[in-house]
Amino acid sequence: MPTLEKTNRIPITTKFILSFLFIAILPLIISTYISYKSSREALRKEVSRSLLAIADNKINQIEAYLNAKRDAVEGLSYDADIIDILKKFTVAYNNGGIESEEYNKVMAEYKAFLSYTQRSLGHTDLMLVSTDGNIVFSANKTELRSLYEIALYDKNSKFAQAFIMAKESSQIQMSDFQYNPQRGKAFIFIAAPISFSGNFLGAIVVEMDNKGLSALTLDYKGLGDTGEASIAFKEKDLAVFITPLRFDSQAAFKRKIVMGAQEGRDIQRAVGGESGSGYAIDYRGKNVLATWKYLPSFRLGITAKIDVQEVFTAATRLRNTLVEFSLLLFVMVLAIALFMAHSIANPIKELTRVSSVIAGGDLSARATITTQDEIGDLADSFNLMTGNLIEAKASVEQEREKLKEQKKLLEKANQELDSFVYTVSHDLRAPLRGVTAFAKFLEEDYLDKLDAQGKENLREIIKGTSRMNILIEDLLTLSRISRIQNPYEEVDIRGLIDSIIERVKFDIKEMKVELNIQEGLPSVRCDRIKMSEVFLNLINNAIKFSSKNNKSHPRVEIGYADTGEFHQFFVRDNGIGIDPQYHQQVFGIFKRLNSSEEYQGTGVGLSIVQRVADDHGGKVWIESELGKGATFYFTIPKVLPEKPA
Amino acid sequence: MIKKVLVIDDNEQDRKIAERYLKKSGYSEIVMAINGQEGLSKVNSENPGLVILDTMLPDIVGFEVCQKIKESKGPQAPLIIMMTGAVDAVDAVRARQSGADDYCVKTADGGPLLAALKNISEKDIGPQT
Repeated sequence: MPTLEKTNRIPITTKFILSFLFIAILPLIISTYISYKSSREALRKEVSRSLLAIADNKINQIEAYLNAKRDAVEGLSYDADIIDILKKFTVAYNNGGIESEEYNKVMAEYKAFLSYTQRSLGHTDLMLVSTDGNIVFSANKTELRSLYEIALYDKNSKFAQAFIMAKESSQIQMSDFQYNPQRGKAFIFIAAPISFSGNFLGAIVVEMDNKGLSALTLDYKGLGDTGEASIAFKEKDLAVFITPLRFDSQAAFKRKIVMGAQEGRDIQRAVGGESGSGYAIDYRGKNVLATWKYLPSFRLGITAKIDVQEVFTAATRLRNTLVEFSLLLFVMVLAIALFMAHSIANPIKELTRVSSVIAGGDLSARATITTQDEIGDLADSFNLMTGNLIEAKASVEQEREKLKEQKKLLEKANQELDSFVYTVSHDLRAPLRGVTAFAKFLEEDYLDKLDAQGKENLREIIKGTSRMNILIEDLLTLSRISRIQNPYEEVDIRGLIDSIIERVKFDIKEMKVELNIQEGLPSVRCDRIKMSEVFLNLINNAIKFSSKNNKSHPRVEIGYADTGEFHQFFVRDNGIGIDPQYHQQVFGIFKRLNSSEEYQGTGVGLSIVQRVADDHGGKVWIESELGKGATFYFTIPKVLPEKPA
Repeated sequence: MIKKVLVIDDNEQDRKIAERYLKKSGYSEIVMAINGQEGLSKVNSENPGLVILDTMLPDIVGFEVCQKIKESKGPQAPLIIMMTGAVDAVDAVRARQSGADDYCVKTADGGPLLAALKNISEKDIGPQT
């Protein structure tokens, strides 16, 4: 399935790029990741630590502020002057109420001092309360006196709660903040019980707004762009902010977080009584790093927090830098990989292209690679090799040309020789005919007139002429075989042999030759006339030799074998055989190993056999040993060579 | 019965050999020509009944001579036996095409010529008598 192979094939460039990327990019990614991770952790720890320090500091400031306010009030509750003033106001209030002359006298005497004390401590009001809860003095008496009276009967009043708790516990108490819609502000009340010689005399109660706390929370120093502190208290299931928030300036007493909600987890924990630090979601729903603390004495929760995003801005910046750097490196590595891959693969591609061009037969193609490395060397070697190939081819071509010429010359010489032989034989025939004829006439007309010696001489002349006749006829036959080309045709070899046997049947009968012809001889494409010359000569030869040597049982055998490319025939006799040293010689013209007296013929027969076999592109050879008969083999190719024109 | 035979052959020995076998066959009056031109003129002047014609003459090819004799003399043309010393016996057809009455190869023993003459003498009985 060639198409499948094609699709599975990965070009060398791709392989290079892939492996290069694998080698270079993988460590890059890993190292970038590790350095980012470790730096991020270090940064986070560092930033968290400093933030928590700032947050703690903020909370401490707030706590200190509240403590200072409380301590100041507590200090006043032990002040002898204040105790005395409370006594006097209580007496005056109880004797004639605030409209009485006595009360106004006490008021006139201490109002300036108490108002100064209230302002210097930064409170919005300072009140003195008698043991039974009557407000016997208020620094802002005109506005608020009536409200206090009502408030005293209102059990939910923070002011009343603070007073009652202080009275019952004999300890300073701070109320929760309470929003006053009329004044648009929230207030907290600090009530300190006043005793003298173990007797509870009443309390000093100050009213304080959230301005001071707001000032503290509005200071964002060290808290970056998103950090802030916030203070809240718990009211039923709500956490109520008491100061403006950085991202909500109207938050005080208006922004409330439902306990258990997703947002404001930090403040929920603070007002819920927990202290700690960590990640949380703030009132905006943002991830923050926060620290929170509960102030039990004030029942206030305080948080200080900063957005995680800001905390990790540095880490994010680092990550971005690393990612950018990695991307840059990636691009560089990719570029290098591409460059490397191309610088290695392109020359290889070029070599492949050039070698396929050369394989296609164009030896002039050259690899144009000039790099100074092994590939450049390879290209040089390749070009050198191709150059050598051209030279080699040229010299082979030259040799072939030479051979062709030589062959032509040889053929020409051969033709000339053949033609010479023909001409000579032909021209010799006329005078020989004359000699023969006139010798015969001499014999016919004058034999009686010759003496014995004369008769003998004449006989020798006639014998000589007759031998010469045979020689010349043989030569002519041989040259005719070479000169004449008959068209190839399909020849039934058995039929051919039978017709030859017909021609020599006299000899066969005379010599009592046993003739064996193998069954199933094939049809062979060949020159019919020449092929019959071959069989005639071989059969004649075999009859001659077998009958001379083996007079009792002369035997001739004709057989065949298919050797694939060739038809292989043999003619075997049981004659005297041929010594292997003469096996080549017997095919030469007029080579006859036996004396002419004993055997007829001149030996031109085997030359004819060889010529015919050569003509057909076949071979002829002998297998024989002296005294053991001989087998003459010859082959004819199944696919014949082109006939010469 | 043919009395006069013309032998046209450039080879003197062949002429003599032919002459001997012709005489042996009973032809007594024999004239010779050594080339085609002479042969053609002697056919006219001598008016032979039989011509022994060599195929290879120095001036005119034997077949052409044969053709000319037959064409010029028409029904009175002599019988012609073409004789060749060539090896390849492919000329028989050409000889017939040229109008020859018979054809033989040259041999020392004259066998083919004698056979041809015998053939001819059987033919000769017809028009000459």
